[in-house]
Amino acid sequence: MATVTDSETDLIRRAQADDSAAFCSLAERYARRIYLLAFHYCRNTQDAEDLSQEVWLKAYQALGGFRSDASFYTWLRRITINSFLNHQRASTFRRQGQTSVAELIESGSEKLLESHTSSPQTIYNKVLFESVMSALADLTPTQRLMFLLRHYEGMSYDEIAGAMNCSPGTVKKAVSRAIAKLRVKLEVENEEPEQLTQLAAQEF
Amino acid sequence: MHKCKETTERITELLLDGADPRLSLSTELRECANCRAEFRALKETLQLTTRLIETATPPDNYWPGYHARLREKLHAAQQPRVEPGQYRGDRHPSWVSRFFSSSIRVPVPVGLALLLMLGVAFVFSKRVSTKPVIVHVPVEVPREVPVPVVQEKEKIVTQIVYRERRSKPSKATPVLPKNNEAVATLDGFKPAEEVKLTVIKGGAANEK
Repeated sequence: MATVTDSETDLIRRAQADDSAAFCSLAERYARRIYLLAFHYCRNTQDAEDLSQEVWLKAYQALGGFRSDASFYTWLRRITINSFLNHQRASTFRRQGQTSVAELIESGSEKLLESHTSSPQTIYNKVLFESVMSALADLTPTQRLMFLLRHYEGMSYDEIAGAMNCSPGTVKKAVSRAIAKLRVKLEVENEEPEQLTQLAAQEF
Repeated sequence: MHKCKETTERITELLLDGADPRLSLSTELRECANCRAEFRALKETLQLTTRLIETATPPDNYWPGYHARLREKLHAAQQPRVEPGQYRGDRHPSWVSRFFSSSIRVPVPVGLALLLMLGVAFVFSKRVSTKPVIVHVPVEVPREVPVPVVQEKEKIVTQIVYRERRSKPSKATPVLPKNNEAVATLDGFKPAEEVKLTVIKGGAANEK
């Protein structure tokens, strides 16, 4: 069973034969996903670009070893995780602070550019961005990476454990702690008002 | 039996998988207000973090620049690209280059110990070499020293002298004065009228 699409297979074959244009076409397909994963991990736009481009460079150099028994993205994600872990060990992020809403607006974020209209939705987006980024900052790098892989990437505990060289139980515990921390930081109440209790009970 | 902790864990897993817990956990959620509250809080938390992706996504005009920069980096990295299998001998044909590029796996503690020993040896050698040590090397100077050789002269017997051996005088026999010597006599001795005798006790062993 082919796990990669035909066109993708063709692009990979050409990229393996030193065709950088074919590799760039592959990069264009997955660049956003890799960039966003990097951005949520290091919480800085410049570091996210550097880190994601480093992933692509590593992928280009290691493409000769790619076998079609797994999907290209799965293989690419493995390289991404390894790059993240290497940066985590070496603490090589140039910028320690996270990107603020102002910086994101300056860079032209689609959602936040609407701030000129000052609509309630835009204000909500700003507040949400700041609070979630701050909540993610409270997690340890390992917790953050495991949470992102589980929640954003939809990886199973076994897959994350295999990629990060630890047990599935460790991953499960880390994800659980990450969610608990986020809940506290985002001030999500878990108390149900009494009047809603009856309504909810009727709903279910 | 209903356990809130287990239900909460299942709710979390279902939400992370993108499933709706209300379908598979409808009974638990209907009957337990605590689990219901947990469900709402978890759902809200994960929804908030998911919305961050939409908020943080760079605009479309960002990507051409991103890919241009990536192409430049790829072009720069294209020259030293290494194909798999190149390390199997074709790049290092000679045994000399293989010898110099070979490596040995050393456990970290052993490596650290070796490094420490090297460091200590280096520091020690530095410390020793900084102090100038003057070593006096004894120089052997050949010198003739006249040593007097004492030679015992041979005893030559020239005369034999015989000596008369005299026996020692015994205590019993009085020593007679030699000729021409004065002899003590009792001439002119007058005895006194009273004789004082002093008896010293304790002289004899049986005296009382």
